[in-house]
Amino acid sequence: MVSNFPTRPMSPEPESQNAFLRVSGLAKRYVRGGLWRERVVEAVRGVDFEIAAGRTLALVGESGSGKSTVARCVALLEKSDAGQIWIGDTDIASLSLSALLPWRTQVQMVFQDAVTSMNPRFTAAEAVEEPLLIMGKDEALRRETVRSSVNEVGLSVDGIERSVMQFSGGQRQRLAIARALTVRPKLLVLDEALTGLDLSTQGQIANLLLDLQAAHSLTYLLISHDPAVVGRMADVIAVMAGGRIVEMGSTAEMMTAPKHEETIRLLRSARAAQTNLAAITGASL
Amino acid sequence: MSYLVRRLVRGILLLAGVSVLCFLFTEMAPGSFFDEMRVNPQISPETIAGLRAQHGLDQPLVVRYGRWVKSALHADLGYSIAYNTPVAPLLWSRAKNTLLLTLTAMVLTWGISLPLGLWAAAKRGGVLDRAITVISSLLIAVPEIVIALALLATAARWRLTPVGGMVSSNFEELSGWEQFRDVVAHLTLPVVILVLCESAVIVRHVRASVLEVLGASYVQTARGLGISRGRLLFRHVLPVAANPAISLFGFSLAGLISGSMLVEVICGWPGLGPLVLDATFSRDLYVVIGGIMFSALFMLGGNMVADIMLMVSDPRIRTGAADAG
Amino acid sequence: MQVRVRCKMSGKITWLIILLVGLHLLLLLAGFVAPYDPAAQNRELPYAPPTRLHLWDSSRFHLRPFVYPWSPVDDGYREDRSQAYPVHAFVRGDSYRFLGLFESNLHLFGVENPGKCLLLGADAFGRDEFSRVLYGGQISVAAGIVATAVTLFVGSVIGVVAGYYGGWIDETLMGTTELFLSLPWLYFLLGVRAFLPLHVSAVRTFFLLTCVIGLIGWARPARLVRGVVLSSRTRNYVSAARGFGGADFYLLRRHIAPETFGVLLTQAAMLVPRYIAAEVALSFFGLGVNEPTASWGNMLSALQQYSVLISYGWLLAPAAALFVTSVIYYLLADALHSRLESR
Repeated sequence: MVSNFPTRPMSPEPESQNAFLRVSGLAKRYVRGGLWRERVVEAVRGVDFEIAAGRTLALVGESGSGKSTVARCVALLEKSDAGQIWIGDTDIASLSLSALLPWRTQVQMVFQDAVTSMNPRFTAAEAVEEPLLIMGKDEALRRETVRSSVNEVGLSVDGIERSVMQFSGGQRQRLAIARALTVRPKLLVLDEALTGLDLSTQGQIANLLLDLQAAHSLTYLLISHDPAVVGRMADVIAVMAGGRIVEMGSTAEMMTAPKHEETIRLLRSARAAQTNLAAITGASL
Repeated sequence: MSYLVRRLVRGILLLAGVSVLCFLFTEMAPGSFFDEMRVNPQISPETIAGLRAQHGLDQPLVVRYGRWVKSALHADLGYSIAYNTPVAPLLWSRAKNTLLLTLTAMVLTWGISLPLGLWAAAKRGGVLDRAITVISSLLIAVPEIVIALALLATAARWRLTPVGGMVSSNFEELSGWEQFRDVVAHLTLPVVILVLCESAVIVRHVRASVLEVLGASYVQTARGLGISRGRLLFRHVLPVAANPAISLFGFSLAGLISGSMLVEVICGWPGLGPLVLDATFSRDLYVVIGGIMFSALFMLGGNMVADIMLMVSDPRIRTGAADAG
Repeated sequence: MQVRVRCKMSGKITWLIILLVGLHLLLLLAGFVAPYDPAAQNRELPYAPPTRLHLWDSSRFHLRPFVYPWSPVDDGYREDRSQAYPVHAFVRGDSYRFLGLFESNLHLFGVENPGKCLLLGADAFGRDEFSRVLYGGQISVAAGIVATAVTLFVGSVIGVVAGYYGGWIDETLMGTTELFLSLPWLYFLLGVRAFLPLHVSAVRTFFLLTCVIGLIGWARPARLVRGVVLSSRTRNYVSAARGFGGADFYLLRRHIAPETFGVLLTQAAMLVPRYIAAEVALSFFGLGVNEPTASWGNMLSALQQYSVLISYGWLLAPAAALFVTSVIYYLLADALHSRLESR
């Protein structure tokens, strides 16, 4: 099966084969309901994968497949019920809340909806400097870091005293990335970070992320359901369904020769959508 | 059915909670009925101690509460020190009057507010609608005591209705029909005050919920199908708009019972209000507690009635559909 | 704490706030504006009707208004036209403490002794009703404001705790609010007041009163605050901030608390008039502020006598003052509420 999606050119083999992030046996369940009834939802049922330093792993799947939960656990926003998350030699899933604090700078999350991920009452400057504020850095350092971060994501420093709501969707997403960068993370979890943007903005942000990855040797965990985005940015693709990973492999393999039915299904529906889009807009791929 | 049972259990727990709160306060009360007596040199301390023991006031709090609950379940609410008579019958005789006042006001309020709210919503933006909005806003903004005093002054000045009491002094001599008219005449002023204050709130809510329903798509569909206006209002709109209105019933009753206390005292209507007020002054604790429990009981009873009405009118509650999910 | 103050307020709200501030200023300056001491009795003028201001007398027009004294006749009063007392501005009269800080005896207006300018008449002891309405307003409105502060403080603390921590804390607290909401408040208020000492000093009565009133009504603000906290707590920017290592207190202070201010402000505008009315009701019953301190409530309790009610209508002045205050507050609450909804 030949894929029509643009795929990432094969990059040279990395110097070291060591994985930056290794997830093993991750599991999480949610309990819904009040005092009388309880319903248990097994969101993640044992997930293993690893990401090499400087590489991107994309987690794809339908909504409800558990990928967002995995992202939140890796980003330390939720506590997993079972399993380990290794960064280097440390299992950060087993650390206590206070011991986790220094690790929070290593892993940062960029959310899908930039509108809700930043407080609408804040100015751009306040939003971007917030992590540094929480960590207690002094004002001069904060200002300097904010400036450089904002520049790096391609925004001008002049407008950062404006309210967050005065920026466009794409600009807000850049601000969210700038905010994540202020603490010099090594791993970025991009939870549907490009969803909801228009196509050209999507392309710009994707390019920005790729440039940043090259410049800082960042590792990315990309959550998406859009194969176009995935094809562009990922080295490795893992397909999730029903809380488990059903297939994993390099991008080229997955795109051209998918084996699992879920992968095939996802590719097919996405391709159909793209064909329809092309038919409607008359655009060529 | 389980829905009703759960509400009943909740109601009982609430009553228990209220009674506990009341008793907790008696523990904190730094004075008592007997303080006055203590100052009087003619009454010996032994007599006072004996009286206290007689009324069980020298027991620890928990024991007192336990005894009170036990006797309350036998419809015995203790003894009134000031009136020297058991509390329950005393309260009940007054409570009947309060019930008469409150229920009349309730019926009139809803009888006026439902059609008015419906009409205002149906003819939205019309003269009536705007008049109702302005008048109801005014009535809500002004505190009840101001409205009560204003109406009292007016009624007294121009002798519109008899002021004070439930019956005239020659009540015994009147015939049955005249007795009825006499009570109604005395009832007029307090009822008018209550109805004015309460219907202002209810009309707005009815209007708002009817408007919400009228804007719903299934109503638009029905109109498109050519259903007559009257049928539309009564068969389709009212049942749905009734739901939030019925939920309001409980709160409305709460407001009426609270308000009735003020109105009773101002208009001199012999209900629970003036009784509890006097008991407050004379530190007649069991009367006060009994009065509070009675009014709480009325309120919870009203809420239960509202719950039953809700269950009857809203099939979703009957089938428990709202609870699943 | 960085709080962004919206300076572009709508015109209507601005006017209402100006009106309200003016009203409160008037009451604060009661000593200055009122011509007489509220406790000063004029035994020879019980139930004197309001003094009429005149501009014309038999001979000519006067720019400065003047009054005639009341002389008692059989069943009332008659103007004694033999002497006229012009009304002066900035006169020296009874001394008072200005804002409780320093003594002064400068009054906004007045007439020379033994003339009396009783703008709103006199009560049973001949005390000037106008002065008493102003001084009484200080007590009643202050009670309303302080009680509101108590309620909002208790309510927001409980609402924040319930909304933020959830779980069984939330369920117990919300159950308690249901308990308080289903109580007939006036009965309960009476009950609580009943169990407290009847005759205490005026200052203690005031504090007692405001605490009691304030503690009854915490349930509704608590529920509203809880709702706001619940919806803010799950916002992405809060999760993000937590991801940066933000502690609970930081999140509450910086992100969640500002969301509650709108609700709290609207609640304040709604509660103040209600609590003023509660104080008036309690004092009317005799369970609030007692004589000789004036409050709108205990001034109105004189009207419980039938004869007083129909003959001396000017004694309803405190009710009129309460009316005006309530209407302004209500309009403000309404405007704030619409603004909150539309945002």
